[in-house]
Amino acid sequence: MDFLNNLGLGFEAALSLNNLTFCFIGVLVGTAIGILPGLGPLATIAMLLPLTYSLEPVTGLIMISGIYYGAQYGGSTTAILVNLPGESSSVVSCLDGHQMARKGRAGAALAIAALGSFFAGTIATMLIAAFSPILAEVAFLFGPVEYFAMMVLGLTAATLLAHGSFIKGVAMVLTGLILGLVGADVNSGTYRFTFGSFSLTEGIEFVAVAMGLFAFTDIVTNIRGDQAREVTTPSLRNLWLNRREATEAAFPVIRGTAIGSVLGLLPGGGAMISSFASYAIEKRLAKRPQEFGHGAIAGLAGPEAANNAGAQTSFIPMLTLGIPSNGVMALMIGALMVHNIAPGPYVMVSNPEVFWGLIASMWIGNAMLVILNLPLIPLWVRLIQVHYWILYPIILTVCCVGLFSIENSLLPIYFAAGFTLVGCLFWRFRAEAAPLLLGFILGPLMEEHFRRALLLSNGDLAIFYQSPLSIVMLSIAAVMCLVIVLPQIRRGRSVAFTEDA
Amino acid sequence: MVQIIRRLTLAAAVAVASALSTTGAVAQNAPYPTKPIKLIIPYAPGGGTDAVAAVFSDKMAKKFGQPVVKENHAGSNSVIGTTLLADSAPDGHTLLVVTGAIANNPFLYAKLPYKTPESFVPVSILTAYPFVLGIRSGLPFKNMQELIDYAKANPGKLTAGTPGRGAGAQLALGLLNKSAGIQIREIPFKGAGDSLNNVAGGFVDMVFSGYETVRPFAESGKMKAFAHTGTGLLGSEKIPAIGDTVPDFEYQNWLALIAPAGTPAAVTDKLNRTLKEIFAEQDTKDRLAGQNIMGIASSSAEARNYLAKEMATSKTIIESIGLKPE
Repeated sequence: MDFLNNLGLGFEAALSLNNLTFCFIGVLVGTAIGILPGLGPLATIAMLLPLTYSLEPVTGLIMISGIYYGAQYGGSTTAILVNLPGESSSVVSCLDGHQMARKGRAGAALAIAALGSFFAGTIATMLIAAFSPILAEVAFLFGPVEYFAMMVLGLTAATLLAHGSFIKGVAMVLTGLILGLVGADVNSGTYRFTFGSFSLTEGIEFVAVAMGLFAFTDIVTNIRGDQAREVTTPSLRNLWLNRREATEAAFPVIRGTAIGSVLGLLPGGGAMISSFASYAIEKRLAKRPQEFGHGAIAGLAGPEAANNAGAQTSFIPMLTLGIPSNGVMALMIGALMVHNIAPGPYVMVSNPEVFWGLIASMWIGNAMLVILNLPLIPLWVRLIQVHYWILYPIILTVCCVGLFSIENSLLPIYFAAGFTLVGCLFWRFRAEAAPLLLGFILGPLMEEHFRRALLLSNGDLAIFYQSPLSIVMLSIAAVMCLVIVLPQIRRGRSVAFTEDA
Repeated sequence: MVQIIRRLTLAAAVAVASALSTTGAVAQNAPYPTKPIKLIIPYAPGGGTDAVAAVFSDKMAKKFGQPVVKENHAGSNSVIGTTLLADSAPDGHTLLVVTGAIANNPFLYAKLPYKTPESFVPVSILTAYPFVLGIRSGLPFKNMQELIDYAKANPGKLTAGTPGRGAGAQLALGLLNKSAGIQIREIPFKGAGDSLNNVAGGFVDMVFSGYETVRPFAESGKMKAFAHTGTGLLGSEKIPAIGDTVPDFEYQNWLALIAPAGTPAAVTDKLNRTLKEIFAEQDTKDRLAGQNIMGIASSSAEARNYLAKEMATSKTIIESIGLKPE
């Protein structure tokens, strides 16, 4: 029983008082920055990294990873309570989580998010412990062709995400695609839609778009409504999940965990894509898809589990191969190198206490987050009862500070203001903003991988049906399109999806 | 109430952070630095530039008795971070770690928001290091000569990933194509990490990258590292130089510390002296040697000449491979 021995070694390292303390500091700081919009884990970890140089390597890594997954927890809290996606992966949590909060189920929504994430974290940690070396290879199955196919699948699913008109969903995805094109083209370095401004060469800042379209638009439309907020005051007795809610959340959490665990292995935003994927799947599977967007429990539970599982399994390529799947993992590799531990397949052999200690600490950290967050729910829930005139200026100020800190410039704030106007327009049109955001993120990636695949094949389109993975994903996307486009089936869909008509 | 708790949490985090970062600092009586030094890294966190900066920034903070705060401002082949430096006050409290990209960019960008080298005062060259050529496993060659023969027999078949326009790896590839008379097609990526993963996955044939980034793949058998762009044998693996097979081929990447134009000589001199002391320490040498990087602490004048020389070299390579400013 190598596996148990290894875990034993890991828990021995992770349960030392010192490591427990730093694990706690990590998840605490992580929760705090996750709750504060605009402050991301990457910036925070980059700032705190030098502190870890004086710690034992395993202690330093435990703290950094605590910040990372703590931020995923904290991000959900803000998304649910004030409709503010603090992280790109919590965009989806806004859709139904915030609606639940408005209906007086904020406590239940927060509990689902916390418990779902804990379940996903536990399973993903076990997966890491048991299958790291095998799972790491999955990342290498994805080349430009496979990524392109996955993006096509993602964008097709995004049109299913939109509730309301199908045409509006497509229009929003395409608008997102165009906005995503701004900036330098990867292949040629040519600038597109920058209008000669150097600040636009890196594209429009994602956080600014998300804040403008979601949080700020929400604030404006609420004030414009000039009415008492349509939030049912949650009674403190009613905070916990009831039996029905717990049952409804169970399967989405399990499915979300599975999706997140697989997609988290892929480099580049696996956690975020997995939350979108989980939402689309839950909506397909739901008995009452019309509830989605109006506080469907499955629409919160699935994505929350998915993004947390994804955040955990993204450690696998880093730990086993020394390959960072996102910015935070790159920083952790940097931290290892400072301690003269060469990241790669040999860390497991040369420094088992680091490898297994970190894995054990992830489970401990997840448990700490639940213990930390559940008692705070009554406190958080009261936040949405705070009056507009206190809450909104605070949200706006914190957001603007966050926007400014991205590049130390005012430009993202102007962009957020601009997108607030656009967001209000969409609100009047009853067009959902989430597909736009997905198009904004996936569109440029899809183009990048498409053109790279063609560069590799010297312009031969055959490359797309030479890979089995790509064939499977493109076929699923094609079937989805057929389902939507075929007239008689579409009539069926519009019956099932009628909400706003 | 909630706000207060939030603020307290954040305040506590900040307090812990500042307390820890100044621990062990030795105050010195000097007019510079009078406040924390901001060290701009024009690349995403976690890259090779960060790793080298970490080697000297902590020690610099201890010697100066002021924290050295790293800030990553990635984008546009380092132009974004470099622009920030050019707009900073020339008092030595804002510094920038640059790579060879700064010498390439004037010939790649038609409208740079600053002038090279007029907008800057080079403080010191920090390091110089060659790229290692990582080849995906499964290709039928084991050394440079066989690679060239294969490329000549199959023109346009081999591909190489680069981290994007204007990166050192792109120039190294162009130079290899030119001097060996072969045609390896360039596949641009967003950053070195992406290009490495695609070579390891077998989608792209080869990549020029730092030793430390190729090593894990070579150890796990996903890549072969049989050549590097410097001179002599590299590291404990004794990797041979491409120059042994292709005469006159050499490409060195380098890092330098620069300050905004107008920074007083007294400040750059003090920085220089401190860097020399740090690079003379044995553990600094050991850490850099572990990554096969050569530490260099030069004078400001040497750094200026080095930059001028590198700009001339870059210009020749960029023009010879047919890139034009946009």
